[in-house]
Amino acid sequence: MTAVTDHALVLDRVTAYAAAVRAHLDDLPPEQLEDLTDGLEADLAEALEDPLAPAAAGDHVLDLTRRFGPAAAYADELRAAAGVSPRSGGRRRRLVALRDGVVAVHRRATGSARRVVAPLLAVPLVRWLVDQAVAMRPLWWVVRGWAVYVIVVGISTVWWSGSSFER
Amino acid sequence: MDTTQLLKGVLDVAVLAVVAREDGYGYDVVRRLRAGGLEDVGEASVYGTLRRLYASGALTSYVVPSDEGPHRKYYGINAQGRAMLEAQRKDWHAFATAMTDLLDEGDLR
Repeated sequence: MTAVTDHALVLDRVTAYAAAVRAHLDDLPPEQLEDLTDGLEADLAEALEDPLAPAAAGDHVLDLTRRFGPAAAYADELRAAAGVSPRSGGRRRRLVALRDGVVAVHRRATGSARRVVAPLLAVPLVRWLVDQAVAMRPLWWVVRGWAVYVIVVGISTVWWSGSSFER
Repeated sequence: MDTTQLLKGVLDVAVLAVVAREDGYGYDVVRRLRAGGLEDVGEASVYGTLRRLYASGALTSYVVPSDEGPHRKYYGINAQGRAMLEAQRKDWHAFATAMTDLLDEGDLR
């Protein structure tokens, strides 16, 4: 990956994270929101790429949740430091927190799955088998169709013989 | 020492004091506050406070290009910031003295 792509990717993640933080502060008056978050993207990018900051240039550069914590917590900290009372009406907030949690878990799971699978895929035989399986994708549909047919026929046979037994 | 709750009211003055000593960029201010004994101070709090103080006109800011990463936004204190720092410094000393007296009194009983 080139440095340029890397930097563009970082900016991409930073923009998304900043948007999530702002979403958690959307109950504030626009002016106050502006005071709290104006330049947030630049600050996040700066903190992320600071050579002396934790995990600089590590795997976590692109995982902002690992570096800065969930966006909801980041927003809460901004609020607390500014002496703004926490958002009222917890339901929406809980839903947003739940969504963030699910996204984080999913991202972590895909990440670790990829880490586990990557060395396997490096083995030529495994890669060949995977390629063959992908090439035979149309055949899967035939097999699936056949399996459905067998199941339907099986169920109807059992049901039919069962109902004839009752008679 | 868990200072998270205590910090809330005094982060503005702590950040002003650090920047008054020497101009600094966001993460540098975080580091200096932590080195100064506020180990629990959060990045979001410090960056947020810097943005807020700048928006309220207490700090100046300028960008310095960096070879190691993105450009850094430095903050410096101005006359308004110094006045704010001075007023809050007095408030803090009065408050801290009152608290110390109260707590030491409690200790003697």
